[in-house]
Amino acid sequence: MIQAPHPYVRRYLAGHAAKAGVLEQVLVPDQLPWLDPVRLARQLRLTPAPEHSRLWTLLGAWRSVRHRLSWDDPRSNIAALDAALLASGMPTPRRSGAGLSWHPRWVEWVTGGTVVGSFEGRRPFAAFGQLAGRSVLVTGSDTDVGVWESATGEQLGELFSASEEVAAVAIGGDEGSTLASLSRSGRLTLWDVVSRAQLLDVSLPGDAFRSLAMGRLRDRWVAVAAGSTGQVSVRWVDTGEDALAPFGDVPFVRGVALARTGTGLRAALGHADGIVTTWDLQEQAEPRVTIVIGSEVNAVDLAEFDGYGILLATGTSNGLAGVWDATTGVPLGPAWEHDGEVRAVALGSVGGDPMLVAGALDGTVHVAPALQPAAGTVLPHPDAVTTVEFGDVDGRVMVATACADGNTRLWDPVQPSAARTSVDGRIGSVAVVATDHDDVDVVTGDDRGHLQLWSGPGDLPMTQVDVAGDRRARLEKTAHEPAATVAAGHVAGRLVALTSYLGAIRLFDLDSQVNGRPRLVRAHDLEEGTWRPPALHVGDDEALFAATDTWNDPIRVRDAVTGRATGLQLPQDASSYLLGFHRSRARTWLAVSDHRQLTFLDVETGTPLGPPIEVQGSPGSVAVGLLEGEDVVAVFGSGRLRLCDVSSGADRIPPITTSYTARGVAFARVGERDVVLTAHFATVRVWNPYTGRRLAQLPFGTNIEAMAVHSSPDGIVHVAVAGPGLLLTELYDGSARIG
Amino acid sequence: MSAGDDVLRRHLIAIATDTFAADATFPPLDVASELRTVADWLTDESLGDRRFTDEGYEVLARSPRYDQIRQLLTGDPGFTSGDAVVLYVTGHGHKDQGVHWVVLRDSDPSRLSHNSLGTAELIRWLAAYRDLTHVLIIIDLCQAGDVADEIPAALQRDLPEGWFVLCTASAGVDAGLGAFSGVLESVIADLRSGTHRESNDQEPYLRPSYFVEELQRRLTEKHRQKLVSINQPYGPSVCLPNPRYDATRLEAVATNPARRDLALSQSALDTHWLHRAPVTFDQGSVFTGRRRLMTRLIDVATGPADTLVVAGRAGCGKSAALARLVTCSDAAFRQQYAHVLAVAEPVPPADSVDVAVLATGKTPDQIAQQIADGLGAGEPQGDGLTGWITAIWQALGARDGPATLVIDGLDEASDPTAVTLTLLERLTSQKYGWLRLLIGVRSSGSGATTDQRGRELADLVVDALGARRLQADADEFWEEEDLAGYAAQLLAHGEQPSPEQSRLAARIAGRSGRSYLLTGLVARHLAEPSADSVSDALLREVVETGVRDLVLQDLESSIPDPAMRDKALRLLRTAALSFGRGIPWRDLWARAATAIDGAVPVDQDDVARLLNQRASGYLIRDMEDGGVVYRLFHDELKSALTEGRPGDVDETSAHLAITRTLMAHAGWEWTLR
Repeated sequence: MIQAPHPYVRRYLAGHAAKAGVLEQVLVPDQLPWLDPVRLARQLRLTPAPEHSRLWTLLGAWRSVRHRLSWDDPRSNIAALDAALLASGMPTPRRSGAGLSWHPRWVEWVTGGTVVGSFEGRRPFAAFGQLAGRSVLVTGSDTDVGVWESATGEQLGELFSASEEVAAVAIGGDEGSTLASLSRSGRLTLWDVVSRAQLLDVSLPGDAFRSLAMGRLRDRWVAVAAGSTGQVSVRWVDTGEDALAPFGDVPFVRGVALARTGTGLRAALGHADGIVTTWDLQEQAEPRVTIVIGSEVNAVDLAEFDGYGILLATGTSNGLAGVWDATTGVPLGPAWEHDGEVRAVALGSVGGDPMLVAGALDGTVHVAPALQPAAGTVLPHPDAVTTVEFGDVDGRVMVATACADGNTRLWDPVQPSAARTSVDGRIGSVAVVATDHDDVDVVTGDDRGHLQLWSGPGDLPMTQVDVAGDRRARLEKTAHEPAATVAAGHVAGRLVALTSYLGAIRLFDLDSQVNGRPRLVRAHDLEEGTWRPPALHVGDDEALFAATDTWNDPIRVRDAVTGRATGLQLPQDASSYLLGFHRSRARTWLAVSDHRQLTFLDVETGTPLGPPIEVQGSPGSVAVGLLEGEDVVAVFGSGRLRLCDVSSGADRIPPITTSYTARGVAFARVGERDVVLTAHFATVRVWNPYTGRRLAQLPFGTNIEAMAVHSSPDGIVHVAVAGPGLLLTELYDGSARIG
Repeated sequence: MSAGDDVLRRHLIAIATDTFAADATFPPLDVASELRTVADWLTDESLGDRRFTDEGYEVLARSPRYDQIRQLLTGDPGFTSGDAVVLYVTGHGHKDQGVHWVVLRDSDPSRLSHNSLGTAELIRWLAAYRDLTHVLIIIDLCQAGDVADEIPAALQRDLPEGWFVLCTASAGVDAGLGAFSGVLESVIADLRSGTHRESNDQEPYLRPSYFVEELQRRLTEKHRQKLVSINQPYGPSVCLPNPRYDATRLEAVATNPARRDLALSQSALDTHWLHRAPVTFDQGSVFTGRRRLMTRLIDVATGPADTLVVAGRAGCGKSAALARLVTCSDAAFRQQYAHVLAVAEPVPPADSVDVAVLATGKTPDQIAQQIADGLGAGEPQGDGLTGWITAIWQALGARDGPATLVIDGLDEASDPTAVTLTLLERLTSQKYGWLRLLIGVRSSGSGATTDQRGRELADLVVDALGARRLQADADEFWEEEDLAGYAAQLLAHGEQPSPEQSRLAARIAGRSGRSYLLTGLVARHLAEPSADSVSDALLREVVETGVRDLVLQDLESSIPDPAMRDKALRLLRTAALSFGRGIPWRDLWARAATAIDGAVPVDQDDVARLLNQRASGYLIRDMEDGGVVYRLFHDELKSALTEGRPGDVDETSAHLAITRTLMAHAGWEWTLR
């Protein structure tokens, strides 16, 4: 039985232990989830631990999820920490407790860094600052700008609200309290962090702004920005007036950096046409050096170092990050290559030596001595990196990275905290299948066009096959690549997987290998560029998919083994959604929605399963289950989870209000209890379908993409969660196990 | 924050039927006395804020119809997280065809399903309110235990932690008329009178484990009935108000609840205003003098919208001045102590302080909620802190003029900077001229040269809020004669000081470094010898003895028994070493004190003895996480006692002992790594 410790123990044990010099003694997996995360963060701040020690792993895991821990829900803390610990390589105990509990079996997940500042589901931009003697991180996302204490992750004050979507943030001023945000369209807004007064709100000429810098010019602070016109605006932060006449005539400025040098304030501008220009801003803007980089420049930074002179860092769209002598334009050392565009670079100093950090859209950050890139370290991220910065936190040089998963993280550039990456790319689709030895395997599809079969932990899946063929995504720069969709199960006694990737439908026999790869059973290609996301189904001895072959064809359901079309045919309708196949009453049904109604249609006859269920907008995800002998559909989307009787279409219980992010929904049976599971942006939740009360949840430190659920005959539910990695966890009823 | 702080409405819903159409099968019942027992406990006026009311549900206690019950339990406005519900069901109960029914007036014995109420249905109705977390349901009917079989397993397992259901008879067993209520009455009577070992006047709410166990024991002994309990909260329950709880003991004098946080303590009042012996220590309150300081505070509290930071070193009397401002503005206090106000010039106008908050150990959210409650702002307008701030703004905007808010102990808040930056600066935003805000913050030194002191919290608050600063121990506000007057009071034991005593008081004041605490201790120490026999050397020696040793000497004189004194000191030191709002009285204080030092264990009786000693004047009682906690009343005192006596284990070892005690209490293994 899990008995909550006394609140005083939870709040102050770490405080007493710290005073006694034995804080490490109380930081163990059994106890950590119960301790007040806010107070513990204040005690620990960024206390390092010996590399690869038990404490190092433990703190690494805790710091990667501490923003998801709460005082009110220690059971969720246990779930989140256990998953993070296992991802960091530390086995977790099976907890003995009443009620629904999680036990992660294996995790391959990107982990590392200390999360400071979190905007769920929104791409942030970040900057370091010093406020009232405390190191702070400023992060902006959408129209929100937040200030966080770097060492503890505590938010200082409410969010500031910008009038337009934030594209860059900066903080400066004599007291360190002038906060600036810049929108894509050039809206520059300044606030005083302490008084919260808005100091300035002006529109800069131009468009497509991506970078903002603040610096001190002639004893006054300026904000510098430039966008598509190439005209650089230098504004006094106290008046908003031009400090210098607008200058620059090379269009499409992507990056702006300022540096205080021996000769005054300098600026570096990175241009889309592959050049960097540097300018002296002291009296009036004067061009200094033009450096031809050769590829679209996304980011620049500029800094002066004793013994090294003024260095320039660049990051480009071809994945290169390089360092240059800003005075001569000569490259210093080889450039570093990432798999994706480099979107952010920063220069810093550790022990007097210049360091470079670069962040890329492939989710990697490379940090190394500026002139010795081979000596560097890769900091793995679950998503694209938008900002990197060096800063001072409690006397330590730290790197801040803002990531498209909504989180800004802190890293020690020399000894990163328990960083680990296990999976290439992102896994966007997942299925759980029973094995013939009473266990489960996991089948996934990733954004590289791979089908994968996992049987347990390890650096690689047991089986991996390219399902893309010659089809490759045409990508927008900042968009996620689409992932292969998978469905898996048994047909005719064989484990098969049905995949869909860019219109290529493939059926594989996973029990049969050809040249070490699963045997391709059948291929069906939809017209390229015209397809809608097909619906896949494998189970109950059949493999089906629903899709349109060409622009003008109706939606058909086909048997994936034989290629035969079933009797169900739907007219082409751009507004209709295919929400998947579901089994009920020994028949297979295709769920279809047109934004107003959700209908289940028999795949052979087209007969509806019941009356239409009224919906508003996209239903998101649906699932069908059996409750008290009745078919019930769970409709999860638009901020609500609804449980409706299939026979009447009526809600069984009042809708449950949830977040607007829907990643999946499933029915399951844990021990003797029926439950519904929902997957959200970064959380899996378990609900009682009879009362609508939440029973348990599993929070993640970063965003997730998909969930699959399998109820085993022994009462244990296996839940696989995919995203920047893969987790397989058991959900079990601890009450049922007692005695 | 106590367990019940988030509860805005407390409902006693009694469903009772006394006469029946089918009276041959269901004879009349005298349920009135049962209802009276429950109501006498839960609706007792003396419960104050913890009192339940049956308002709106009275009809259900008078033989209600099914539709009336359903309408009141399922219709609007329903129940939310701000409600606590005690549902008491009495009358005839009967099981028919596998279903347990509450028999209603028109129930037909041959067809109970037609005009009766399914007992499990009641629970389902309440369970449908997903945010309702404080519920006690008492099914006092025959065969009530059968209900447990009818509540779906899914519901029974998943009832929230704050819910519990008591069935007063097991399945298939009849409940005796008045059996449960009689037992309840006796348990409440024992709790109220203090005759039971578990009764106490410290905690506002009872723990379900004790309560249920006691009911169970007596019900079995007297009536051979078994109490069936479904779900049982672990911590104190809002639905179980402690009838013996004494809200005034060691607490503030009676004032408006919005000001209670900073109101002067009753014992301080007794000491300094009514001159009642035995003298307890001053609890940070100084009632006379400080005219210039009080005048300035009153000016700010009654002037235009403004923000004033009242800074000063520990012990300089800033908290006492703020407490005096708050208390003396309270209408209830002024009415009761008019004779006192007559000698307490300057006195603020009535109701010149709207809300007073002691920030010690509190988070920004907790402080915001308290301000909102004090202003009558109602429900938060949104999630989290923003919701409370919006509610406060709305309440302020609806007023005719600015409100006066006093916050003391900002430096002791959970995170003072966060409170400043996340809450106070938004409340004092210049576009809202709705607030007079006075903030007490400890600062170093009394000089006005900020640069010499470095940047500290008081500076940050001044800058962040654009506030004016008042240094309570600055020359401008320091009146040496006040300190001397205070010392003279103590030397004269509340009588008119003799000239010798006044002269000695002036000498003490001159040597005590503007510390009321040290002045009080020294004066008390020197109160016994005749004033004119105190040499300079003796005075210097006593002053140099320091706070800690003066406290030790005071304990020596007040607790003659060395063993008892040792335990008292260990308890006081444990309180000094505690974090947050203090050491929990019930579960941890004695254990931690036992572990810190000494061979003789300290137990709960020793705690009780200390609290009945005059040495309890060194302590402040407070609430945290629903439990009673104690801490030292003064920071200077806390620092002094943290060190311990000569020969005691050092501070590090003491914290280690507490750490291990806390680990053991949680059932966690201590492993040296």
